[in-house]
Amino acid sequence: MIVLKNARLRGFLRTALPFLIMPAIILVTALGWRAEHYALVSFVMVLLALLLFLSGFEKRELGTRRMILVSVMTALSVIGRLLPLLKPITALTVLSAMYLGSEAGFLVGALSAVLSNFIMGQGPWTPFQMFAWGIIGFLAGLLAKPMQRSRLLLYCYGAVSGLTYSLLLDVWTVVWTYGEFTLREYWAATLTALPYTVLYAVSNLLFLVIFAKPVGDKLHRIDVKYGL
Amino acid sequence: MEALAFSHLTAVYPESDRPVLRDVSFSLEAGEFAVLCGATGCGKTTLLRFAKRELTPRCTHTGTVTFCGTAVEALEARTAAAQIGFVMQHPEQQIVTDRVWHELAFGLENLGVPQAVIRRRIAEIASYFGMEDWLTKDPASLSGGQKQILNLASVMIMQPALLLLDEPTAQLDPLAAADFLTTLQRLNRDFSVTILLAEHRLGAVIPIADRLLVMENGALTADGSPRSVLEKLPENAPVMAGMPAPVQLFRAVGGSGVCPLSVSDARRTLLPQFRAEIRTLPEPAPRPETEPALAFSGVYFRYQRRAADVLSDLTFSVQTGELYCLIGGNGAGKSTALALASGVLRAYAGTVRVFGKKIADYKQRSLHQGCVTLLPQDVQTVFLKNTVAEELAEIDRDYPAALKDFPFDLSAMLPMHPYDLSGGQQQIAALAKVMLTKPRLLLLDEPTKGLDAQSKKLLADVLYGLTERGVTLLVVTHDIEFAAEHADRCGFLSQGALISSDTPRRFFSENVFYTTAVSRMTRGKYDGAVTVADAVALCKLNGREER
Amino acid sequence: MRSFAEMNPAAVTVHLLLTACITIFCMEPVLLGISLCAAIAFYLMKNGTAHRSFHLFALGVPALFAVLNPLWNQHGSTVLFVINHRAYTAEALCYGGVTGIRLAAVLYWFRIFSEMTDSEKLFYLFRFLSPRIAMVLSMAIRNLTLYREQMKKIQQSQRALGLYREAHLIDDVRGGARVFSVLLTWALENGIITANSMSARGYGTGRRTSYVTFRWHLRDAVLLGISAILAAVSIRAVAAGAMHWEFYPVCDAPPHGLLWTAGIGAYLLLSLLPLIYEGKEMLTWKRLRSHI
Repeated sequence: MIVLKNARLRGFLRTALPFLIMPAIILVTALGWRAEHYALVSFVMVLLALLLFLSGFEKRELGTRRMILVSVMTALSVIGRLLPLLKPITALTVLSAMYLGSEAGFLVGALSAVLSNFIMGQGPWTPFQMFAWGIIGFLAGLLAKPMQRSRLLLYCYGAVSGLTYSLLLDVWTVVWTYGEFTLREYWAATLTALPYTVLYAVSNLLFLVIFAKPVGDKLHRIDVKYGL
Repeated sequence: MEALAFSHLTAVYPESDRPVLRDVSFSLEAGEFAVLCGATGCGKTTLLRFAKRELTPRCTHTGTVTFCGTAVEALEARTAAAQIGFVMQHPEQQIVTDRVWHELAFGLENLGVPQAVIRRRIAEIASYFGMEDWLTKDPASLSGGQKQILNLASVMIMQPALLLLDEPTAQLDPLAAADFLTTLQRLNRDFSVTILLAEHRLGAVIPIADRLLVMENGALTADGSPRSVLEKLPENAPVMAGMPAPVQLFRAVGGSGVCPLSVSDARRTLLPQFRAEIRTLPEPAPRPETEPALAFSGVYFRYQRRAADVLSDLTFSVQTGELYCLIGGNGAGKSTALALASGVLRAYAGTVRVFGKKIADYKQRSLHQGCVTLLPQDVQTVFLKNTVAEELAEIDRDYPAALKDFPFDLSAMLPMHPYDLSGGQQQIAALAKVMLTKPRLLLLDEPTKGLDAQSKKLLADVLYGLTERGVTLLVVTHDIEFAAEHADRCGFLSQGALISSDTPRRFFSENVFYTTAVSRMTRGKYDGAVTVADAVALCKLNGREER
Repeated sequence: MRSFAEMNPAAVTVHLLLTACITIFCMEPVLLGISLCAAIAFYLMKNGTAHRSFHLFALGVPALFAVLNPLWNQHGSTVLFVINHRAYTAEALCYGGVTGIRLAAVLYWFRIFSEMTDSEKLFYLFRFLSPRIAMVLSMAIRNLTLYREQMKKIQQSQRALGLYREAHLIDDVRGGARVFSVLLTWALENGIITANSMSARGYGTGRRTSYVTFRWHLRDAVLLGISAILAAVSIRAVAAGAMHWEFYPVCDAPPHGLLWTAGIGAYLLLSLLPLIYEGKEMLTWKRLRSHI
């Protein structure tokens, strides 16, 4: 690895690389470079971004309690999939990020994806799911303060991120099945998946509405009683 | 050498004006086995935590705690972690990883011990604790007793000089608890580990302890060898109710000589001091026969088609308004019987009737509304709100009126979070919540688990209050002392069938092995004495042997 | 001789990922056919005829895709028939079929990976990334089993309280939410106990070692080496375009040269490696048993 002397630059790169630069490359290739290897390029990029973030994690400060809570929230969001009609992963990822910070949010999202796919089925989509949920969590962490103040913003973020998640994953599905990205096929795919996407978005929002307060209360209590 | 010394420790929790520890001073010699007892909430846990740096409570304090001459907070981090071991009450939640071998390795990994050494230590400790067969298992598949042994082993693997244990057997059944204590005694003898054990199951611990420390309201009220402490302790001290039966009897009848600690001691030295002209107490008037509230007849149950029967030909009935205790060992089918009675499970043969009506004939909700309710073993599965008041309001908005008759004043716990209550208080809060569904038949699964003697007494009073209001109670328990003292009738379940059923006095005096300490102690001298009160009454009636 | 599943998880994972990744990014029917057959054969060898519903899913969905693809895909020149004024072309059917085979093969390979990777192996693999994340993951897996048990208990107790109903969908959701809420409180409170237990045993006092039960043997290096070489050859062939098929307007494959043969050969070996290991182990056992 190249050794960077400047700690701030290093810190910036560590966050920016997986969260700004790589997604930018993925996006640019999607829009401009209509190469047939787009599926491969995006796959590799996502994998690299994940590896970078996760291995950089070793150096970060995350107290024992916060770490435990990440594992607790991850397990909860996986087991929540057993609930009827409620889809917990996006909602719990957002809530974890809101109270435990960006990093924790990323982890809860990414790890829930891996773990739940051991039940739902692994595939080439696993890294994308990890990345998508991870980013949803990471961004929610950045918006933590305003979202704690405004419930409405939280619901909006939850709804939008749930929807974006489905739409983005559809992009990859299209690229992978057809070898290239064309709007026509994308529309066909999203239309086919529409009932599912809508159901997903609604149950995700429903989960958020039901559990935003309890999760907040309970995490707040832990914070007050034991300190994080 | 001094292993642990407290000197004038006084501690106050933030947002509290009452100190939780007051001027506590004592010291333990290396290799001592000390037992710390006291009612729930007297500060035992806080005291233990002051000796474990990582768990020191967030309170303001004066005074010092030293470990082998060094102040605990001045210890190097790794020394503090390794040299002072801590085992907590709940077996399940102390386990960190999902493999037994990894759990054992966890502590050594944290200390940065090389792989080869870890491998060796795991092999050693597994053979010492007889857990080679479990190494590759998931801890979730172990029994409660095994889990607690695993917790002990994963602390012991770091070779601590001092072992602190906070009610480690509270969640275990009597057999597993005895096993755990035996292991502890072995560790103390084999490695001269200094042990400080907070416990309220004193019957089994006092005979093996070197020291007994008694706490009351945050202060140390007695300290010395068990015998000397027990001889001096005032008879109305709160911890007295939890003492072994021989001790209670000795103190209540004013025996002379040394205080007996075990059943055999009592038979040898205490009972010969009394005459035995009157061998039995007058039989209390039998309860008038009433309608059965719950009747099992020829019930069979199994969890899977090809599995063995858990209940086979179970037949028994509970009369309206009585307190019936169903006792028996692990796997006898007690909890399954309760689940059937509550309608959660269904029998594959035989019938269960509740108030004369077949359980299958109750429409889905009518059974649980105003008829049958189950208070589960793990009462935390009942709570979901932020305060006890909200919990109660969830069932019935007008809970103060509905609980007017509840035989316990709940007002102090109403604003508290259910998880901040002690085990006994949680039990009572859950009971109150359950009572709001207005059951006529209440089923309780191990309600005394983890409770100290005083909380048990409190619970028993509440239960009596309920029977007086006409509620029928079926209690499933391992706690034979509780059953002997409080039940109207007891039933003994084994291999899924009812072996015997009778009033506690007849039931326990006819049992030989599965019976109370008093019954074993007075056997051959008096008939039908099963509780300490029985034995005290008989001794007093007969008077002392003339010399 | 060790069976394939008993080799070092890192070597096994690299092998399976290489095999799967080549399948994911290649559209050469022969190679995909080999991949699918090898995966199914290995899966059957490990599981027998169990998991019928998985077979149905893994083969049914792709087959459905193959048949339906021409309905919304109008490319291709050989029109088979016309429905709803839309042409149903042989090329689109062919493309759908190949994509379907690819999807099925990928599903099988990942299923094989999932079934082989228990939590212990997952922990071992994630340690390469970050021991700390491996720890979080390991705890999450443990919590998962713990919560499943607790959830069952909560369901029972709420049902016995008459607070949990399954009369209709809304009740069902409400009941589920109740149970989850109880679980949430319990999980968070108990998490703190676990955190205490961890710090009491010195977690976070400095550099940790990590004890693993998997060791690296020569045989693992051999497996890794063979997989890498075989995968490199196939990837080289794919990258050079020797495996490139055109489906539209007419199906057209490049001439099968040396590179194609080498690529297919290498992939054949690569995807058969698990079967070879497993088979050899089985034979060794048979031989040993006949000596007893």
